[in-house]
Amino acid sequence: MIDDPLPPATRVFVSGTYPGASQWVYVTAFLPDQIVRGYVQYFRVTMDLPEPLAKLHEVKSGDTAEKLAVQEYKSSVRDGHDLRYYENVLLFVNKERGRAGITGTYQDPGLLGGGANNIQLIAGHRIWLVSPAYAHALEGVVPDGSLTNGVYAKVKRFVQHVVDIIKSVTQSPSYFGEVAGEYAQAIRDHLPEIIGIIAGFIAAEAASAFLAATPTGVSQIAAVLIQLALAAFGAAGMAEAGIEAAKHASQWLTLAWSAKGKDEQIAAASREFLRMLVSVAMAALAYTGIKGNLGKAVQIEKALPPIGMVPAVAGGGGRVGPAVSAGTGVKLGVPGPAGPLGTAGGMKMENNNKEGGGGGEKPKRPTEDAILDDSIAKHAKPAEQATAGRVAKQSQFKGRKFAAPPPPDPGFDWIDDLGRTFDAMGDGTKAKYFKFDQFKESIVHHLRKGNTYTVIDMTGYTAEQIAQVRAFVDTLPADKIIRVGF
Amino acid sequence: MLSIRFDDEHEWWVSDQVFDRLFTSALAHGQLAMALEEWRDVAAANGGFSMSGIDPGVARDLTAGLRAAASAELARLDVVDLQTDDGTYKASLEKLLAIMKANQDS
Repeated sequence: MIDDPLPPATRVFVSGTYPGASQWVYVTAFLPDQIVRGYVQYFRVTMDLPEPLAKLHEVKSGDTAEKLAVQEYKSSVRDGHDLRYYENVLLFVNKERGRAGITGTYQDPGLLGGGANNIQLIAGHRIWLVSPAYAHALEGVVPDGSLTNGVYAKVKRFVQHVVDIIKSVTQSPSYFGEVAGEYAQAIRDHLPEIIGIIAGFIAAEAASAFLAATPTGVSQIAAVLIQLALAAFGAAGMAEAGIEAAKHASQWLTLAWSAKGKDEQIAAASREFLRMLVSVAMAALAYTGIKGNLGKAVQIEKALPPIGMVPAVAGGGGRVGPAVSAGTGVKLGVPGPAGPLGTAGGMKMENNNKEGGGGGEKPKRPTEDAILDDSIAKHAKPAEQATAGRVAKQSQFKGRKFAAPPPPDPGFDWIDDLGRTFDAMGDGTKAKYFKFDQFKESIVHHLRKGNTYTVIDMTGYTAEQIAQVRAFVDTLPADKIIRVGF
Repeated sequence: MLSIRFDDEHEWWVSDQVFDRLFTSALAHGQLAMALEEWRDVAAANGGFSMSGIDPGVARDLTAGLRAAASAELARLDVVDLQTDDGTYKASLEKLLAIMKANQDS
């Protein structure tokens, strides 16, 4: 929660949409002294970045290409790549993206002195500043080349580490069934926050930390990430989450770092990430005592809003509405498969849209039934599809989206966009094969699997069969069971 | 998902699709007698079943038939991509054989 608009072109991590209002995306932004999260209208976020680490810069009066090159790339200057090369990179990248804030012709790095003002910036426009590593990767392209496949592959390689790490985080919900065990619920309850914060941190810090690190030098980063996860569990300030958490964090980062886009290795990294969270959850749940001062991580807990809904409005950097008050909050979305990076233009978190500031309708609480993704028809049997359709009509799932994950088998039947997993049992078309003792025992075993919900669908069973099951289910804890047809 | 229980400690947690596919293959290749076909429906109707809760002779035939079918299917599948339906099928069958072996050894 912040009182002021976010600075223009704030870097954000997009990790979901508001249920029933997909034009609002959920973002996490790392500010210098805190982390903020909330919704912003889709069109106010630029997701088509030249590369994942690029940032938007608003050109100010007095800015020059040379000044920006010094600011961004001075430490990267070497033989054959003097500052003029980086000025050319700025021109090349922004011309490619059709940005109007930079014009002119390429500098000739071979010239001494002459041609220093070939490239001009136009105040008030925003231009892309790419990372030094990306700029290096453009060697052979700038000033007069084109982005050939070979160069594209080279460029892609350097961002692959970051993309793979983020992927290992955003895809982790697929492995809950096999990894999270008895801590599944505790982690699931916090997962949207954790994913937004951790992936956001990686995206925000990638240029400074990750590109300089190697797989063997990740322990410091791992320590920070563990602190962030602890904060998401409400245990910010806890001194440490134990050796296990650090071990899994290092393995996660190392696996993801060296995955080179290989799905199996990213999956292994996702599992290690979840194991880290299990260790963190164990520590956090046992945590009591005085919170310490651990800098940025400590700020997170304050910044984490309670569950609710706050639209975020981008107002071009201006103040667009009343200050956000505590007590309103954000209903967390769920990460998409690739966790797109984005840059929001002058985003503002607010709790009230009365003063406008960007237009667009304020999203309403969802009233529609849950949507069944096409994957349900693809990966689920007809009986499961029918059950998912019935659950979708239950009021508690209005506005949600159900999807059946592709292979490998995740250990549940479908998952919703909040990361809650559903395991269904019961097929009324086979009701004549009902055996109460078997059914009863199966319920108990299904409940042990650590999925968020076990769905018991009695549609199509006889009244007597339903009565038997109802009497038994009445004796069980209700929070993990969804009743259908009884 | 289905819970196929061999005893208190050995359970095969399997998707309906994989169980259906194995069972169908076992019937088609004669590893399971057609008289046992209804157990596919029993599993669907009850979220799985427990071998210890059924007639021992039937349990023995079901176990042997599923084991034989799983072995044959694995031999047929050979190398597959784990990210495909065949991959899930293969991994689930390997799990089944491991559980059966552990059950036998215990």
